[in-house]
Amino acid sequence: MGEPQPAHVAPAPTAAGGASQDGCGDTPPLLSVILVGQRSLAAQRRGKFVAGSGAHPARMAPDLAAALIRDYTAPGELVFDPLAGIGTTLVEAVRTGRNALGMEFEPGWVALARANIDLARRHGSTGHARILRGDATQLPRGIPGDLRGQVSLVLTSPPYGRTMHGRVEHGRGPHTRFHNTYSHHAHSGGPQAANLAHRSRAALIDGITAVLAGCIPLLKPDGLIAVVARPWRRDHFLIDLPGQTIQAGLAAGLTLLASRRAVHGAIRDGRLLPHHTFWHPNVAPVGRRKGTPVSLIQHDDIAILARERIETRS
Amino acid sequence: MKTADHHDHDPSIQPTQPPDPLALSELIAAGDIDVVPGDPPVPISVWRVAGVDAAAGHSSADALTPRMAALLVGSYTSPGDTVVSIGGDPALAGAAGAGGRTYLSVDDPGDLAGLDHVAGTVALIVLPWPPPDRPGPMSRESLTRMFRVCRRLMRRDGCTIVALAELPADETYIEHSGALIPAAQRAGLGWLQHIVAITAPIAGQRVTWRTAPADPATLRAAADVAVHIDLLVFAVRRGRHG
Repeated sequence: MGEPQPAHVAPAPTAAGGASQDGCGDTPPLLSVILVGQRSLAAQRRGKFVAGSGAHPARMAPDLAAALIRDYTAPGELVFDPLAGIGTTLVEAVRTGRNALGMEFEPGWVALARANIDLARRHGSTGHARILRGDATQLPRGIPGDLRGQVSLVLTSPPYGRTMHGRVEHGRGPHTRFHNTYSHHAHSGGPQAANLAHRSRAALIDGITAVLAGCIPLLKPDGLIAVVARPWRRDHFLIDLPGQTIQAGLAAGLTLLASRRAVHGAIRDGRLLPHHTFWHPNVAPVGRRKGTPVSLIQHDDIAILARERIETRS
Repeated sequence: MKTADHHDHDPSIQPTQPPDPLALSELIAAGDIDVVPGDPPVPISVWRVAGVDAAAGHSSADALTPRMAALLVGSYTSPGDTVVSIGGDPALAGAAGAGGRTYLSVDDPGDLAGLDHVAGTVALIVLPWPPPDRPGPMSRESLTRMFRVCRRLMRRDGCTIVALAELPADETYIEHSGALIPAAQRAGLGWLQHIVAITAPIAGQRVTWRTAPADPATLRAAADVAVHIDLLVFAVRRGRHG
């Protein structure tokens, strides 16, 4: 064994809290853990999203989106989110100088995403973004031909199980779930098969497979797909949505390059301080009082997929 | 299975019960575990387990550190309980011994069946993964058989924890998790928790790492330096699932 190597220290967290830096070139290797919880979700979102955006039940943490965009793209490159929701990934892309394209099925979310992109532009973002209304399971249908083969990074998060949806309101007594539907039409109509969030679990995985397969023609030759997912709990046990999402990617012809973890707790004096999330914060205490050693989930799984194994990347 | 601090500070009540050095309250006080405060305090799904020697350049994502062993033993067992692992692990043995637990180990997953004398009494089974010295990946049937043995050994409220460490370059997380989780389910175990154990030191607001730089020729694009171990916690399914 040789001498211990000099310390490699991850680059200082950016304003977004990621452990990465812009651009390519001679940068340190990525770490399997990304710390994205230095700021509360409210602080991460403050001023970036128009009123009404908070109604979406499962928005990606902005600092996580920004960290992944910095890790896997350079300024000027194109980021695509096929399940764009209210446009968190698009907003973070343009705010970091990337261009972005998004697709969303629900017209209400499309309108909000468009407004959020406009807000980023008014704030001086240099990237350009476009949100399209469409069914991502039909991709690449709906994407302009000149954008095919142009995407450096597909960044998205699949819908979660419906029973776990909902943002939790704090500070008014018992936790109250609200904002728990993906569709503005969910109360007036039946489940919409075209909306992934309303599918059964098996159909959801089929839908995710179709979405990922449809993204492949959009990728540049060295383009990557980053999928952020979290398991959900049913009958006390976890359903492996992250694993099933990766399996969907493999079924779509993709290769898994890396499995990373995003940690949402804030580091203070060397300790991790948890943030409240939309995940039911009262599940874990109740479970522990009943004798089940459950923990509060403070991380997301990130799967990095590619069309094929890439040996070198220029 | 311990889920709260059973440590009693009043010696007049339980004079023969020494305090548990691995009680949750002790782990919290020592800064070894992070929790949501409350009654009871609830640990979070992310552990900081960098070894004390990590700063000297020996950080590794493929071995249990003393803190990780203490968290495993302290979080999932009580004094007097039995802990089993594949491969004798000094850190695990040390934590179990210091905490008044009984520690047993076997060399190979196939040897677990030889522990029938403790069947139904084991509070914690730790499976470092992939198992050392294996000739190749275990078949679906072998994995299911292994978890069935684990279930037979486990106390009704016991846990089996797979510690999925840094993998060889030609293996992926999903190859293992995608086989382990369904195999455990076929054996009557449910996936209770996924814990991310960060093996590199955290300095300031950053994860740092000290390791010999990987050979650039073998570093794949988009690959990363492993600074965590995935802990997959399984418990016995009961009721209509049991």
